[in-house]
Amino acid sequence: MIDLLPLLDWTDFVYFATPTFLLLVVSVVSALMSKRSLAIVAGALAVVVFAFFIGGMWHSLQRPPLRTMGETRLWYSFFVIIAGLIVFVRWRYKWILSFSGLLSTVFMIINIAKPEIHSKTMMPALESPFFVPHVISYIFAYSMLAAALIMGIYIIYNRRKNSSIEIDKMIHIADNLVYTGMSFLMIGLLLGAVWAKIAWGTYWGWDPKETWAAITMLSYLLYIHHRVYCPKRFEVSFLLLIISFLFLQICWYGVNYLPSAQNSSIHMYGM
Amino acid sequence: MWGKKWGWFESVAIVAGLGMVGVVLQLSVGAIPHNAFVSPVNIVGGSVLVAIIILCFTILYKYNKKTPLAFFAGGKATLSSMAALLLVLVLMGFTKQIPVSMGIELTHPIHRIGLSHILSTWYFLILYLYLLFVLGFVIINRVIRIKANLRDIAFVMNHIGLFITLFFGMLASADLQRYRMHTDTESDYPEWRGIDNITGQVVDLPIAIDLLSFDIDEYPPKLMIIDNNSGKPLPLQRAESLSLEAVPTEGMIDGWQIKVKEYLPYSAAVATPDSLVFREFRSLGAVQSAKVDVRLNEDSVLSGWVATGSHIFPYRSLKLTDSVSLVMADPEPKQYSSRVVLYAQNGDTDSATIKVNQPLRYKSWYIYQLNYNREQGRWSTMSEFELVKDNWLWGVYIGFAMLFVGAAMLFMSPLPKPDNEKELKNE
Ligand code: HEM
Repeated sequence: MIDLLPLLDWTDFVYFATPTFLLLVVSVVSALMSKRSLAIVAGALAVVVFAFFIGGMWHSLQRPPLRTMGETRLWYSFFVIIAGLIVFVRWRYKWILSFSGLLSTVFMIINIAKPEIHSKTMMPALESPFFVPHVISYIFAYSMLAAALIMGIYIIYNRRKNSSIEIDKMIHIADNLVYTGMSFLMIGLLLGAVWAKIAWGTYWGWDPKETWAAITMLSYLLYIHHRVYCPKRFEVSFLLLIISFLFLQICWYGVNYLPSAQNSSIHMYGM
Repeated sequence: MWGKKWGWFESVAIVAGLGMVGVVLQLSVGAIPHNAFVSPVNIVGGSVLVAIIILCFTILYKYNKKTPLAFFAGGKATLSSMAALLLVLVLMGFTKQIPVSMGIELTHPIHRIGLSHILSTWYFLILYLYLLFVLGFVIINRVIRIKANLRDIAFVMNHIGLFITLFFGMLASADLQRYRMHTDTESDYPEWRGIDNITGQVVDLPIAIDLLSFDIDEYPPKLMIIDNNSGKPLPLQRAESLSLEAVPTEGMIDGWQIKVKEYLPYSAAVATPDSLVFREFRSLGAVQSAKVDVRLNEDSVLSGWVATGSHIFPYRSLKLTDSVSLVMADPEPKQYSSRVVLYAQNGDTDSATIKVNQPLRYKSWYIYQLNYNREQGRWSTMSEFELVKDNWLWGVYIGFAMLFVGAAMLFMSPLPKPDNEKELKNE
């Protein structure tokens, strides 16, 4: 087999993060200047460069780079860019690239400042075909829901300035992002549940991380149903969106610091 | 009151009332014991719930939405029932949870009110059932005028899928049986006794297991530099190590230049007149060892052996200075596997290799690799299994499958444009 991917590690990240960042700047500026195709091409190139780094990491670690917080942040930066591009392509909403680009850059900077180097070993329970799709679904959902929150903030901030038709359109985008995020949360959860059954016997054990996953889902369900029933009260929906996002953060990494979850979670990221 | 439409006040009052009833029951009766709802109680209870939903709905249908029962298929009941359960779960998320059997005996108010074991409290059960009740209502209300469009199919998949999952999940949590079983390759006959995970009692199981062999597949070991006093690997912020994947090899650990000249995965220490060396040794208690050269300064090199320990031989480190030593860390396991033969009471037999992530299935039993004798490590003759029996797994999996399709449809099916969404609201 021809090896297309080089063996990369964290020290190489800067050389990929910098071009990604520059491409994102080009993409954002082009979008704001209404040069649509250039914005899409630059954004897509940023995705390719980033994907190349992830692939190289995967190759040199001989396992998917999904085990440490730093490694999951990598995917987050990656999917946030994709989420932004999808919104941009589908709804022609030009501001989204600025937000998704910024969010992605913040996570890249964290990873440059605080890389989490980790050995190749992987505990036996993680050696499962469910591992990769499970974590990737979750991280993808996280980035979609981050994009939804950004949309929500933007809507609340610009409520007075814009016409109500435009606001309705933006709320519609936010809803779509939540639906997509929710759909991947559900898929990630189901994959995780089936995997847990195969790995240790119960699909659901109310471990702290699982409890917070349930809380997050229920909270986003509240948002969805509140939007269906009270479409005119977006301020309340927005509040639910913020709370849900906070729950999501607890679920993602907050449980690692929660006193109630100390020494009891089987889902701790290797530190 | 009858005939008048119920609103937000009533919806909050209902969940608050149900919650209060739960708290009062909790304080007076105490937590629900883990085996309170084993079958057939759970089956009867579940059927009663479904019957109540259908009965109530029939009444509603007959009176053509005039009764407040219509409320339970509406948004206010939906939102309030979800919010109430969410609140309880958030409480659970912020409080440390302990097993009920432990919580029941403690008298601090936190335990009395069940905060430390929320899953066994009355208010959790009642609010869970209420959510199921509302969900059931919502489903029937929509299904009776279902249309064959994407949106309605997505609705059915998500809502019926969730109902089925929550329903069978509830039945399963009462009936789930888990046992641990210790087997040993040295034993002459199969093991059929299991230890009940909850009660700790030893019981005779309908299946027996004969352990033929147990194996650990390990990652190559790593060399590390540790602080002699604390035993912590260095550098403290981010420990460095040198993997013995391919030998000979060399590398730097915490500023020390290390050359690995020889690596013996199965070895034992042999005393020579002037030192201790390691030689190939392929039986019980063999350790992993490596011969290394460490550069101490410009013109001196320290040569010696480092080795992992086993239950028979002590480990061996190489002292570099008074404060640091070179050690070989215990290799990390990659996979555990047990070759077994299974015998069932009815005469069935099966043989398989059970690994982590590869349980053996027999009817509604799953048998998992759980543990081994840690002290003996790769020489362990003991293998511990967990035997799990879940009679309702099929139900939960049907729910999962529907939810999976529902999730995919949620992603693919287009939402209505904001304009026609409005008319949807005005019924
Ligand atoms: C997996 C969980 C759930 C998902 C993904 C979900 C999703 C949705 C979506 C997308 C809608 C609006 C779109 C449509 O009308 O087709 C909806 C409507 C609705 N949902 Fe849910 N839901 C879930 C759970 C629940 C639960 C637990 C309840 C009640 C306790 C509930 C009650 C309702 C009601 C009453 C409607 C409006 C139905 C109608 O218009 O006829 N849902 N749900």
